[in-house]
Amino acid sequence: MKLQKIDDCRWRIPREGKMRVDGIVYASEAMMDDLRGDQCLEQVANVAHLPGILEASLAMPDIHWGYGFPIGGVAAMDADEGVISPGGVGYDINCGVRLLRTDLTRADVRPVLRDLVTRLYQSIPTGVGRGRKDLRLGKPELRKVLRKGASWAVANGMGWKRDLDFLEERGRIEGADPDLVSDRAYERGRPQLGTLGSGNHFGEIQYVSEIFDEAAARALGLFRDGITFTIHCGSRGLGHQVCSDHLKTMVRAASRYGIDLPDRQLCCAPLRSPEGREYLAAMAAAANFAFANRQVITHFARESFAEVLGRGPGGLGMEVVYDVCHNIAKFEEFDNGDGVRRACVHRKGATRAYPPGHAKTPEPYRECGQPVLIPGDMGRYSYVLVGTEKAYRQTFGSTCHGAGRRLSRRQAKREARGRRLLEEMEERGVVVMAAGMSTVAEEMPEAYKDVAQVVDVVEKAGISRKVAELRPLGVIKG
Amino acid sequence: MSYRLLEHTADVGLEVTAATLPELFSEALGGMVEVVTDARKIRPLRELSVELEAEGLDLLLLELLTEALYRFDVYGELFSRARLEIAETGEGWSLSGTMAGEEADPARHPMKVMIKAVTYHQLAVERAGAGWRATVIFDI
Repeated sequence: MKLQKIDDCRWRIPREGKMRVDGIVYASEAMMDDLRGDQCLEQVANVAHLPGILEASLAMPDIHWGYGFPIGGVAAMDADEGVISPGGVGYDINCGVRLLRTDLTRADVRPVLRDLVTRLYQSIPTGVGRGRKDLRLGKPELRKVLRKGASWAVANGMGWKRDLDFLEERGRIEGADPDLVSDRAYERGRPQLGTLGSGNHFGEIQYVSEIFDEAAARALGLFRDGITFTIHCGSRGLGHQVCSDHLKTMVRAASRYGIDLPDRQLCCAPLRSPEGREYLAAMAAAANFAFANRQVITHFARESFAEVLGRGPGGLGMEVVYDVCHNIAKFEEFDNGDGVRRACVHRKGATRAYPPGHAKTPEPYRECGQPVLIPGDMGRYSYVLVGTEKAYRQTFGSTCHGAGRRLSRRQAKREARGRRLLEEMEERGVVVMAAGMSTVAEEMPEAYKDVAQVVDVVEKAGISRKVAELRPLGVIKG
Repeated sequence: MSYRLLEHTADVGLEVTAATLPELFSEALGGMVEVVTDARKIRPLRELSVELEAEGLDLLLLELLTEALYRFDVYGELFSRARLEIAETGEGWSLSGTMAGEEADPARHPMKVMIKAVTYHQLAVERAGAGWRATVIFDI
């Protein structure tokens, strides 16, 4: 595959064959050395085949081999001529990250850390299996969740009204149609609202270990040594089923509309077709389930902190900093001075990163830009960034989403054999509670690339700006 | 008849070989369960009838595995083998028969990781020598 260096942070895969646009990968020279020959670059080129794709098939520096789209892929489709591809969203629709801040400091939490992790682990269901018995919804109620998203949880006493001001799309994607969600999806979703799931999902107590931009950190309510809590999860079985159901339709639709694809997982339909519209409406419903899921988990986390710290959640200052989607497709508008352009932006393992002053950025953040939440691994650090004008112009307002895996799950398990991972983590000052040791091995810090390098590339490329570094203290996992 | 797990950076792949198509499909079920827990510990205590259709053999395998995944997510049942008849129809392929397994018990079946879905990426069912080979990648 041909690869041309554009500058220190960008590489071009020139258009060839049936590609409609170039591929552009954000990566450092060292990262590209590792990526050469990897299937993920081929996947960037494959995405460039999709009808209506605008400007380029983009990939962020946390790019790795996915199924269909690469993980770390961004593709904006013309709203009139373009297609929607469920593979560009993924099975875990609206998998995302939410960050909560508190008034607590490390010193407040240190004496009760183990109790706090235990309480969170008991209160937020993780791993395979069902959710809490006190949250079993009938289908009519679940339909409301799919329409209303996070605001359903707030209306039912799980959260504060002001939480909604700090969620991407205010925690609800327009146009959701619960009728387009199958019975099987309802069956899978019913016991899973308010659960983390397994794999790379987690809840993590952190402290602010470094501040890079004082003014922005202040706007976000972050201060050095301050305690934060991060939630990473998505739409659970409901979203997986919605994706599976609609892929089946899309495989047929793609051939009916004469769309020639190099990988069936990229199957798609025109945005204006019945299949395309139906998927968008079902996807929005699943995305709303995910927003509600993170909202319910926020409520459980606030209760847990309040119980262990002996202060009411309000007294802890446990506010939502922000909530980002990193598996989503959405209609967004871009105005680069030559008129407003509407596009359906697919972000598969990528995050929206709107600039300062954007109307969709919450009022208190208008000067610093939209917060971008980048989890690293459970042993090192995570980052809080903000979006920039350059991201808006260059990447359809998008940036990276995480560290990206270095080892496959099997390699990680092999390397973890014979080691006492939980004790190793404790020596690093991190208390881990997990439903299964297998997940801990697969998710151990060495399994991931160094997220600092990913974040350095997006900052150097100018598509995000660093605000703060967070280090883990306690982790709950599936 | 055998399966082996394949290296994939973020997810898990499975390659299965068998002499016949019904054996291939049954073995693929076992391979999928192996991702989730120790498949050898799943006893055939419960049977479930299945009848599925698809346009191709690869899509038929995806249907069977997706069906088993749904049963696990909603009913907690793990089906690790199947007795199936697989036939070509006018529009594609069909299968009918029974899957066998049991309800997962956390004490006997410690969970490794949950599979989110069976993907179409590199999905294949093809002739291999005198027998058959299948490749599947799961989203984790």
